[in-house]
Amino acid sequence: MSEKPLILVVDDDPDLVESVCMKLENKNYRTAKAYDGVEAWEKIKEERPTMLILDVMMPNKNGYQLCDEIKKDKAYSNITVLLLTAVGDAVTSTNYTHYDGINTLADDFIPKPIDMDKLMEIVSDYMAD
Amino acid sequence: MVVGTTKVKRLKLSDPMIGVSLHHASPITGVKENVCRVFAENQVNLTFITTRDTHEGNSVFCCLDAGGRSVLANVLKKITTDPAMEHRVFPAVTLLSAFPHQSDLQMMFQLLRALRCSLIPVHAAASSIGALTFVIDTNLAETAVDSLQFVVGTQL
Repeated sequence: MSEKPLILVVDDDPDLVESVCMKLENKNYRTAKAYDGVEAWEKIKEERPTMLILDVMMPNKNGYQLCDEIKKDKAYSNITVLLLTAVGDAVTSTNYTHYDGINTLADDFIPKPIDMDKLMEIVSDYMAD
Repeated sequence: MVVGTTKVKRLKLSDPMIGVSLHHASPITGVKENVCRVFAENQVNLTFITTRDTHEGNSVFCCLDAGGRSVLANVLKKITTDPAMEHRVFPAVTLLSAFPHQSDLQMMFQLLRALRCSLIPVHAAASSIGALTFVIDTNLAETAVDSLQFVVGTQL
């Protein structure tokens, strides 16, 4: 029997990380957690996740930077990256822009606040591919 | 370092906020609802709120972003029309969160004890799905982090 796919959830909001992981585990995925971009990179190298659910606004290394590094590294570029974005209209004080988002090589963008059912649907679609 | 069976990975400090403590010295109902209604009507987001109802009275402790300072006086005026409603404003408080806790109540005890040993008043504490959060004075935040790091060996 093949091992369940591992999904790494990265956000500096511990409540969001925990709730997304619980939902994913209920859907029989394995999960790993990281709370900033630097820690996420370490986890990616250690645990080789199939998918990354990645927040944009994080300390140390933001989601755009991490996404670009992953997608430009041949060893990791096959990891599916779902980017959680709360930029633009929803957060007027953000330093990040839609331009940053458009130029990011993420596989998909999910607006925050997260619609958990929609997120599970998107995860399921990518995992089925 | 392990606390109980759980390894705390992170401590996180919020930006400074305004803390508001409200107490109505009678067991009337609707105090917290009224507080929330007035803040909402004035479009002030509450980042943190705890309430306590006992036969001796009702208490609310809440934190709002520093941006809410300009409307706070007006909001408090509306909330404290009843003379039995006492209030106190803490001009700079910070939320100190420790996570993940993995439902380990022992950790709450250890962290509260560490803060007490460092003589850091905790205005309010809460457990959420991902974190244990303590409301402390901003000017004591650094000391608080040091005291918790000493206990759990985490890095901010």
